Amino acid sequence: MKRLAELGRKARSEVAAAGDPDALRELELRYLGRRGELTLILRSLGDLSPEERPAAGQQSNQLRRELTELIGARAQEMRALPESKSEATDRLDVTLPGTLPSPGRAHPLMRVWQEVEDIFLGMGFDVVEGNEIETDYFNFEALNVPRDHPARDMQDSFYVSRDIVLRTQTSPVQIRMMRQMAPKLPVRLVHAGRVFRRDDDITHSPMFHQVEGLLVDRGIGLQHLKGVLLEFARRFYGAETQVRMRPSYFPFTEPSAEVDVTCAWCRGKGCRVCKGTGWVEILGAGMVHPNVLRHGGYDPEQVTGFAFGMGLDRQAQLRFEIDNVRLLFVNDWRLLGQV
Amino acid sequence: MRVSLSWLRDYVDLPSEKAQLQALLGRLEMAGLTIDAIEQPWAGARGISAGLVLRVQKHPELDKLLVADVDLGPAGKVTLVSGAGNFRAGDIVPVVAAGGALPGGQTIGPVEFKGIVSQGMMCSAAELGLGHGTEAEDRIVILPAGTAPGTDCISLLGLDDEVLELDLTPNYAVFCQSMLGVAREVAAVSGAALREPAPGTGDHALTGPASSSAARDLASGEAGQAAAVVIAAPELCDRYSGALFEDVVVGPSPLWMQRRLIAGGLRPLNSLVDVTNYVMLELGQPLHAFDFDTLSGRRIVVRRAAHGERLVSLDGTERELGPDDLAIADADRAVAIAGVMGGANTEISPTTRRVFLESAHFAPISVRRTSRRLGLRTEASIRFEKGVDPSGTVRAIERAAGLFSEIGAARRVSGVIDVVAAATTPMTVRVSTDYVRTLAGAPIAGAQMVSLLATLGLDASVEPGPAGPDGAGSTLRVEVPTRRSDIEGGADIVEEIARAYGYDRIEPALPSGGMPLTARPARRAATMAAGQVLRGYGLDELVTFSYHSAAEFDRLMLPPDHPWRLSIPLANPMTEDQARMRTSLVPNLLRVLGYNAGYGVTDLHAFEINRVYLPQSLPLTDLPSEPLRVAIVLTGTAPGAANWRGGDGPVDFYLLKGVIEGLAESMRLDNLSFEPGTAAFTRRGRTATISCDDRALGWLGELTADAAAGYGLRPPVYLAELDFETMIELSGPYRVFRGLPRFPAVQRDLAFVVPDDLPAARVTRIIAEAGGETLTDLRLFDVYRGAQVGAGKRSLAFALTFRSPEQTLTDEQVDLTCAQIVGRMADAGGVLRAQ
Repeated sequence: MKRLAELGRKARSEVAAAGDPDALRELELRYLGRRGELTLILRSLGDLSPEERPAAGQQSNQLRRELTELIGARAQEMRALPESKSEATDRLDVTLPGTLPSPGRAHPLMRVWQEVEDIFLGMGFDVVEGNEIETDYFNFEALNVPRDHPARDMQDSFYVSRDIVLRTQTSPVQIRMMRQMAPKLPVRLVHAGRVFRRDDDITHSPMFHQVEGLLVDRGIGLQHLKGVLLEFARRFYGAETQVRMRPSYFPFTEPSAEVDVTCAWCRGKGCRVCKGTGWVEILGAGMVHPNVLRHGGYDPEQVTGFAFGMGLDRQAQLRFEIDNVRLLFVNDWRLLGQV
Repeated sequence: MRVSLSWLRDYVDLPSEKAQLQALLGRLEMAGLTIDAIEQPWAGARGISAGLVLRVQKHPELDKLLVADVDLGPAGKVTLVSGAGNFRAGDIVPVVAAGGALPGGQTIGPVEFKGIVSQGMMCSAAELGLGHGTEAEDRIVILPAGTAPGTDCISLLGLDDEVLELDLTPNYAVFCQSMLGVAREVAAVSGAALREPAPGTGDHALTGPASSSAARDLASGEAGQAAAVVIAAPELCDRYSGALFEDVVVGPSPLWMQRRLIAGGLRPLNSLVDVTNYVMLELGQPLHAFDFDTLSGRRIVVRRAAHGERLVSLDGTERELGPDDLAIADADRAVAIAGVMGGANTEISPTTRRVFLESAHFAPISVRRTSRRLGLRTEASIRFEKGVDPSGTVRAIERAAGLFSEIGAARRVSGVIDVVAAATTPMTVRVSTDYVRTLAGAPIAGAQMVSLLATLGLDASVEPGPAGPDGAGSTLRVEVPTRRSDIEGGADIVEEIARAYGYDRIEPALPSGGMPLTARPARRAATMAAGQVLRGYGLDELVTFSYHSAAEFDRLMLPPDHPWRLSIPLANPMTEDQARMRTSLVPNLLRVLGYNAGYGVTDLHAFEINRVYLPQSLPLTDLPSEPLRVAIVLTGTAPGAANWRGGDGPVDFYLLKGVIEGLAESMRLDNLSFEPGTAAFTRRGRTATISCDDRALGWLGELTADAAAGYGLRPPVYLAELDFETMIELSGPYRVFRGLPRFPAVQRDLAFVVPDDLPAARVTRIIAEAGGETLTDLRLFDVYRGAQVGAGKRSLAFALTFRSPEQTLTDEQVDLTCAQIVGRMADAGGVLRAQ
């Protein structure tokens, strides 16, 4: 017991005198470690008489707790002290940059592409693929673009041969998928990909990207088109977004609509993006034309459907405020590095 | 289509208040009529008022000038100097007083002419932005007698007019390429009454509804005797109407008409031509005036042109026609290109005495083809292409006759020739009311459908089914007038009803149904996953064009039979850069590197995963395959290496190889193998082909200095291209867990000195085979060349891990295996260097 009191005195003064964390760690080891002095005393308690044992055990454990606390407290104090020599040697300039390569950047177009796809996947639309070089039949004829329609002009489309064309829209996928699925219902799909038109200026690239959506089922009407696009717009542009439809014309839909959303940049107040109108046109849509349903193998008397087509490049431009569509395909590092 | 608002007011009332007008235009847009712009063609005009000329004298010194005292009413009297000589005392003229401005904003100040100060200016037609190109343009405008001095001329002459620029969709273009057509839409939206122009009434004298039963004498009367009309190509012209006019006076048309033509985007020419254009803008029916006395045989023959038949059109260009073109001919020759442009040989001239006026309906496709082929688009051809009411020909003649008479330009010889080759009859469309409600997505009752269609001028009725007018089996019956050739079936009727009802009133709803099963296609999912891996290595994603110039093949110095050259040519590229559909991603990626190097960006690490286009044969008969490729380019400093530690080493072969191995690993491709290879544009000895399970995957290598220079790049440039389709095909979905090791491993390092030409992969294979099942891991950790191993040799040092699934390996067991390895290596020429 005397030894215990002696040990306590010595340990207390040494802990108080310890100058740096290393010394403290050493003290901890010396007294409380596996072969520490106090540990050894605790272990030797078995040698005492049964009468002495409880009191000695109690005191030893109390001292152990006390020293643990003291060392902990002393360690806290030391952190507030100026750093030791060894610490100074090991000190890092934590402000130096990290040395692993930064991750590469996803192309702005691809980011938007994936996000749009994700939203429609989440709404129960299947993602499908389609070819970019198409037959005249699938790109035009089956989409109710009759011969001598202005959209078929050589000046608008890139031709490979008389019957093969670089698709001018993603809509051929509608026909191909309907034919694959008919007569199963519902047909519910989106497809994004490249399309080509003979246009080249600040707002037109001869190659650009569209996302196509198609839903064919019994009893589908304009209200469903509006509902689905409203849901999309809220997820893509923000929960406050409003959608409006204006009558328009596409050969493959009837009725047809242009779809506008409230400008996400000025929240409808009017700005440069929306040209002061508070609305931004995002896509063309409509109810699938009866002739197109027929070409797809469905009976327009039995089923109806809606379709929409949205320019992805424009969405990328709007999101990242890229004013010239051609910049998307120049792949200028000075642009990619900013977005 | 340009729509003058002041002119539009002739046919339909518009709100006078600005805000209300704006609201109406907004509703018009919501009905589908897109307004591109609202212009004020005469904006800037200010301070122009009517002045009574009191006295005119010659300028005392400048004999070409006149000096006039002019009474501006409340603004007092001014002295004005003018060079025009067409006014005299008593005339009322527009005057811009000093401080005012002309249309366009040019301010007029006092100007001194040799001692006489002109306190403003009398305005000519041209100065007021009217009558350009006419003989009247330099004359001072004489206002109607009785105009009070001081009257504001800006509103009097309509210089405050606003013009809507409409962007018509093809269906609207069928019936809205006329003031009347637009007015009908405005009336439908606003609910105001439509006032149709009646023949014989002009600008300021409109009456009530037109008498649609206009006199129609079929090839009879004086006109019929004087001029015979024959339609020899009824498939291209179903109706040809005409009338003969005498007492022709070719002069300037009245200012109000000129102003309206200008607002409509046309140039005033003379009274005859101006009236034909005016009627076209008003009713949408193109007209053409022939000098009747130049028509040989007094005949009009509507026929296909002969092969190589020539005609000088009104623009002075000689045109060659063919049997696909419809010509208007007289007894001997073509005198007009039907629906496109008249001929110079029968043009109206100052000496024209008699005029034959054509009002016809031509097949849209024919007009369009001819117009395209000739590269000649005119106001007439644009209208015929999109659709002109086949029933409107006679009405247009009647209207023109009325205007000719009103402005004193010509007098009609009674009778209208009207040759109908094929009568167009109004169509009846039947559509079930249920279908309308389903497609429109709105609960519209049958009676409401009828009234909505009525606002658009479409007569409809409901044929009730057994369950009443709004029950199942009810049918909506719509009489479609001939002017609405855009309406073909039930779905078109639904659009008419829906837009009259208002798209904005349709309540959004989500479709219901069974649980959809959705996924991304494997290719798409793999593309996204691979992109993520490559971006993780610090590579940026690129998106380049699907085509490139044919010159790229030469730039890469590809041999003539190189498979990349078997590329699909585009028949009608816009530029040389669109000549070929790409067969490899490499050329466009190199161009991107070159572009960026031009801006001093030289540390480039990038990839593209995209399609190439591979024809089965050329010329293309079947659709090509469009497989995905992944291409990677590295140049400059290695990713992340340019840092403060100073390890800014350049990219190298093994960095690129590591990226490829990492990508393959992420797709769980085992057995990836690299063999020395060659490519036309990569350095020998620094190129490898890549395969997996004996399937070729692609290649990687260092671009030759020549090829790099061709793209403006500084070596080294490393690039690779892999067949992503095969990678996806070989990609395992997952690997299975084989249990945690139960016994400890033994580590040994072995280094072998081997001949330089013994590939590391072979050494590895030998060791792996000799090591057997207990060799569980083998890692090359050092390659050394130098004096210690001798010339032509190198040392390869491996860390080997041995472990048995059944027992703790003893040193003896491992030594035995190592001895086997050393023995097999010796057979291959490898000497153990150290252990």
